[in-house]
Amino acid sequence: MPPLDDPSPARPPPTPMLDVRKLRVDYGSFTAVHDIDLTVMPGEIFGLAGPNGAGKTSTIRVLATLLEPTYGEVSVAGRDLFEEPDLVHDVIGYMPDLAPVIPDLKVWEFLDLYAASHGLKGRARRARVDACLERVELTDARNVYGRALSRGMMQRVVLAKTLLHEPKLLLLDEPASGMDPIARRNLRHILEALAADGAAIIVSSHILSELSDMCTSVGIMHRGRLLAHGPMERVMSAIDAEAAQIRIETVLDGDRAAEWLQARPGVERVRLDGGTILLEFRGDRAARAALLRALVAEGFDVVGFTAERSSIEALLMSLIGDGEAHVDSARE
Amino acid sequence: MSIALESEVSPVSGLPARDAASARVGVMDALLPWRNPVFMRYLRSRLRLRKAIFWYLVTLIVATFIVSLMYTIATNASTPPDEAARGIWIPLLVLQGVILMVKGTGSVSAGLIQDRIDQTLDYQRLTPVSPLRNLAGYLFGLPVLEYAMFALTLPHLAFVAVVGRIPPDALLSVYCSFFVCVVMYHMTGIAAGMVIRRWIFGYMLSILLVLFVNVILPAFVSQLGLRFFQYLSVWPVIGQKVLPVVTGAAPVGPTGNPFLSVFGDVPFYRWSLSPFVFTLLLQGTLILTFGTIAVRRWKSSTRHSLSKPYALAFLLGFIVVLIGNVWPIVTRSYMPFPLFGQWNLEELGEVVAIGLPLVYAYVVWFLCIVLLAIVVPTHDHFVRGIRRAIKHGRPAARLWDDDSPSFRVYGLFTVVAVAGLCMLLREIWASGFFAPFGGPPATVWRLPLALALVVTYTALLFQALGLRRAALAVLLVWFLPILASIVLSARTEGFDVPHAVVHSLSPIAFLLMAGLPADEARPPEALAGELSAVSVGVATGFAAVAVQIIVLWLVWSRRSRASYALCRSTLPAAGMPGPHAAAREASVDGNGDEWPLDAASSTESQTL
Repeated sequence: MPPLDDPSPARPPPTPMLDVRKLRVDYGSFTAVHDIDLTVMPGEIFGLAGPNGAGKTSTIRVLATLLEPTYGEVSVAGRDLFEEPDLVHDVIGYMPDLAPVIPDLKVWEFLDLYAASHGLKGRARRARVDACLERVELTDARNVYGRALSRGMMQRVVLAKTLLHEPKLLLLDEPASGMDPIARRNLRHILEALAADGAAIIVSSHILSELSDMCTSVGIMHRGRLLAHGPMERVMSAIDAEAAQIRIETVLDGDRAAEWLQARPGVERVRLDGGTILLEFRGDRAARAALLRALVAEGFDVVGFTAERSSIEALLMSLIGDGEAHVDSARE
Repeated sequence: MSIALESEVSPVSGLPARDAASARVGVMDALLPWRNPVFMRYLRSRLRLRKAIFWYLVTLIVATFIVSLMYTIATNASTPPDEAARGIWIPLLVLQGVILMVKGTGSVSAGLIQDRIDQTLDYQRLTPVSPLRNLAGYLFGLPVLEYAMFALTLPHLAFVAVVGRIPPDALLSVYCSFFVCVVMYHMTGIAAGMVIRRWIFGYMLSILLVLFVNVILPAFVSQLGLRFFQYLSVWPVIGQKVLPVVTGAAPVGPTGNPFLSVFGDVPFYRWSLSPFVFTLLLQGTLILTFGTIAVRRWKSSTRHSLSKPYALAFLLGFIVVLIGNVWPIVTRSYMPFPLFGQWNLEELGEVVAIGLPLVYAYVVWFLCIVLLAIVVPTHDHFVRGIRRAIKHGRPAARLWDDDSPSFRVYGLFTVVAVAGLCMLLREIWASGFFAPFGGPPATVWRLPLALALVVTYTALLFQALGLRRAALAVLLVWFLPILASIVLSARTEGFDVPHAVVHSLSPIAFLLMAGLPADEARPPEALAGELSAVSVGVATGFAAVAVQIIVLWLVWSRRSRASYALCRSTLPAAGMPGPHAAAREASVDGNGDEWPLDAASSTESQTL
């Protein structure tokens, strides 16, 4: 991953893979995307998080040239998206939400169609199709018709289609929906490998924990606005500084440990569930480490201490206030 | 600085590197159908034997049944074998037409709509395949099963051609025209597929359109002097090339049968064109138009189906062809085809003087309605156009932009429509068709003025109210007065001034009244009362349409001002997206929702 916040004066700054300036999308009087600015560098996996209706899909569809924005400038690898869409198409890999597969084609025929559309020919095309099928672990399903695939398998087939032409910019709209845990892990590995090879990836999801596992940076959208963005760790730390849920597993004396914790500064809402203590803690990572040290020093046998990732609701609460977030959570 | 897009792509881990040379699209890739990925997709999916075998068998059974039955009956009746075989050609053509024109067109539109609904069309949009190559893939790929079914009828055609000793040039002309016609219908299906949202509607509409063009237009509309509509079907070429072969008749000119007439040349101003050439020209123009619609919608699903310049050019071309076809009649040269069932030019004086301009006015107005419905921007597009214009430092959207409510362009529609009518009236006048009226009647100025008013009114109606509300207005203002006047007339068993006043409130009736001769004409005594009523009706109609234009203009102005105010209040100053603009945005967004001014984090992105 390139250093995002450590520009070296000796080298010219790298060209962003994606540069979005003042992008706006209106549906009549409803503004779906409100003047957002965004930069994604090569090798970056950017998570676009937000509740349903935040404007994520509209943003991604504009970047994929499938939706004409009201205005705004978008450049992909330095090329204007709206002036040279055909050139940019070969660089973009787009995977829509609830990605469909053509029902009356076999899996390999489906992939072959798009490999041919991207100009691959002959043996190179066949090899590419086979390699992409193997990459998403669907080699055995190559002769299955699209209509016979499960939701998760469809997602994997479309992911394979998205990888066919080795895109430098991947736009994945809720890619993990319908995937089982193994497929999700596989998806993460694929994205990490692509990013390591210099591809820029945008992944949208309304489940922040899903993004936190795979993204290097994240942007939070709400009501068409990009409320916050930056490296994943910083965003998560900023949220964690507000309130993080901590799960502590003890061997013995769970009741006593819970009582002890209740009296510590920054600790709230302590609950005991068997040998597991759940609590909310206000404090940064250093404060969390200090709490763990104190717990062990007190003589409790701690076998697990995990800071759970904040939910999208907690994140929105920290950014826009309690009331708004609850409204959106209810809508979701 | 930019990153090379088309050059060597960094290999993705675990995948073989892509050969850049293999990605190059050559000329042959563009021309050869089997190198078109979209065509190959349908070749695989639609010709899968398990699914297609049923249709293959149906085709073979029906074609063989028709050929063997007709040939057996004819030869049993002592018809010579060659004549018997030639007699099968037309039924075989009908079967081939049903396969390719009806079933094929339905498959094209339904298949494309289904792809749009499934979003798989988006995948194809995002490939570097050009819109034209994609279009060709869909155009010939979607009906590939129907082409295969057609191919199964070729042995039967070969039997007919060989045994019937059909001249190769006749076969060539007929099937050339047949395939141009097929491509035109399939292109209609593509255009419908890019616009209509439900596949069943697209399927039905496409099939109905084929039937309309081949049955309704030749049987009814062409009798009103709109003969050129007939050349959208394959009948004229059948009439010119097939009938002489089958029946031995000479191509002398159309007869009363609108379908199987032996067609002569097509009148076009001072020239005569072969039906084959005229059919190709007309259908080629329509293929170009539908192709333009498809490519525009391919590039962006939110674009208008036609641009304003293209729509204007289409209207102009239509008027040129419309007048060109009746030119020999209005210049008193000869009768190229029957008009309202009449062949004698001298007996058609009043029909030409009054009927033709009225038919022209209605047809051109109808076309203007269709074209204006396409090019007038919706309110959403209008608002988007304002925002985009303000962002780029312009006061409004550009004149020819899709998002622009360009009244000057709508004015050009009016000018073109009225200019054509004036040209037609001038020729009718110069040829002496107004002599029975003792000189030019008031329709000479009333009808062009009425046409100008109704076209302007239509543009304003669509612009001010939008298509949905305009449809409601059409029901209430265009049709209700006519129905009310019919009820009134039925009650009093006559058509007096009060009826005419109610009647003429509708623009449809107003146009009719404006085109009818009134007091200055010398009609039979029995009609005098009705014609006075017409004069009152015309005056009422003028007033009603004028008032509606003023009201619509006021509605539009108010709506337009409100939209500009909304856009200006919610946009940053052009080119100055600074903190002040951001703060202004923070107060009210495009939805009118308030945002906290003091929370900078909620309006501007925090970079963490």
